[in-house]
Amino acid sequence: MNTLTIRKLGPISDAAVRFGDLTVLVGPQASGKSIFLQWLKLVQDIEPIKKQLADYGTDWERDPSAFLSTYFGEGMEGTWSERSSQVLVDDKEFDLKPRLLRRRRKGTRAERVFLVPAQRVLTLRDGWPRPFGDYRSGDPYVVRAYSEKMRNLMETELSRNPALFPRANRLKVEYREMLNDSLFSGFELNVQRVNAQKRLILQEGKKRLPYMVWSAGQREFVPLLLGLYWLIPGAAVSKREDLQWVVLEELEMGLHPRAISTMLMLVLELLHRGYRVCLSSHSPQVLEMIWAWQNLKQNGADGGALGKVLGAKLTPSVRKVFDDVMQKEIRAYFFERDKRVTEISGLNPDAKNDLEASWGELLSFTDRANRAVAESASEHEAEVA
Amino acid sequence: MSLRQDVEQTKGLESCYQPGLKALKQRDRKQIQIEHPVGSADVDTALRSNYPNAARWDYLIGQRSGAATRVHWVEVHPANGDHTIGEVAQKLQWLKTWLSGTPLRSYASRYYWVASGKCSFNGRYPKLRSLIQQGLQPPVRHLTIPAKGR
Repeated sequence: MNTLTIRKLGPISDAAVRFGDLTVLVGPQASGKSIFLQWLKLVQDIEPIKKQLADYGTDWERDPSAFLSTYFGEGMEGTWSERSSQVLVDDKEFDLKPRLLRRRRKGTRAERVFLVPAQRVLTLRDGWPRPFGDYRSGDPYVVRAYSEKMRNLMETELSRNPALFPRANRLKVEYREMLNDSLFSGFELNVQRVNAQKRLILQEGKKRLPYMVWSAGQREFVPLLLGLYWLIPGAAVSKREDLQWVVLEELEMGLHPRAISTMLMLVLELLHRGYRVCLSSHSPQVLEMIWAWQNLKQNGADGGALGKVLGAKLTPSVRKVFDDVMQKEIRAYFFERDKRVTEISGLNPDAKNDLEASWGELLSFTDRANRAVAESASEHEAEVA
Repeated sequence: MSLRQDVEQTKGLESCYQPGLKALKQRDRKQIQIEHPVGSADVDTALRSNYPNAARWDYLIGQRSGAATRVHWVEVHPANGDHTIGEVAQKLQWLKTWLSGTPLRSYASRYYWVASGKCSFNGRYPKLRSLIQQGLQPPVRHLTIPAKGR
């Protein structure tokens, strides 16, 4: 899939998005970014989604409206209008109703899109991922599915060793060092067993910190870390074979810029491993990296220059990642409620289109602050003179 | 006193005042749009003989602003590296020192940097902030100054 077009659907008036290897969506709250990303998953994974819902006994009684309420969450079914909403995949109409009503065939294929929802922090309760069935049926499917996948990962692949971070066979040592510096500050992330119950704790020597006393950034990041462990299975396996897309909502939540840089490096690692990545973000830092990346590419710089932007230690292994991703295609779009989505990929501060020049309004505040300070400084000088 | 008279009474600028944007070099004019310009002066060229080694500023542009006249000081300069920030900082310093000894100091002034060539900075670049604090607007490829000021 290279393009997804959505029209007249909830807050989305007209969104025609051509995906790059990395695609970033920006825009104010409730402008339709999250709905768009959930559709990106739905159009590609409708069969595995139907199967999972059926496996967990969710009966939407072949009613598309009930299905949409189950998938997007309670109250969201109204975003779709059978009469006027339109979804096109590579310019071909995606007919939701017949696909929903089609009987499931045996051997449903594996999912292609891995979506890390913005509500990921809610997936850990008392420091352990909640099972799918623990949620209300009105909770968004993507949250329930993510939570279940993390729970499953913890109970299977990661169950033998209580040390979750650092963990020798997961993530490059350079990334582990960056994560330690920017997020864990010498603490280890471990599984603690209390009687029959397991929970995640941060541990430094004998000091053990339960989930509720972690910093906001640590609480946001740990569900992400588990997602990364899923996507990057181990040294010998480059990626999950069937997965093609990673959708990551608001990677910056709760994180200091240093930790955001580390997260961006991990995004580059995903690209290097062959995933297509789609981000939504409110962080100027994310677009700053893309702006630098595109300019460095145009100026013929090598991957090392991008590595410096992210403050990476340029070992041969990390250098390989940067050199590889320099060739990747990047696109960016601005979403605004009830308006046509605008491509802002150039991120050119001199662009005639204000939305591109302001990076989808992420620089507007900085611009106003710069102008106000410069004006007041010149006026103050005139008064003193 | 009009801006024309004040420019003509400034040592070194006596004969360089031009109506509208006529004092701007052709290549620079393409990058600068201003509403209601009253006149302009090519400060850099006019002061070359008096201050041959100084980091001179490029242009003065007067703009009608209600009953008053506002003066915009515009420097067309590369904006593609830290060294260019240092160069413009020197020029701004020179401009302010020079300006304080002229009749033009009494005008409401604004300072602008127009990037000759591609602008490599965005508004978040930290080293630009010190210049902004001194009153300089961040560099742009095309400068547009509407009637009410930018």
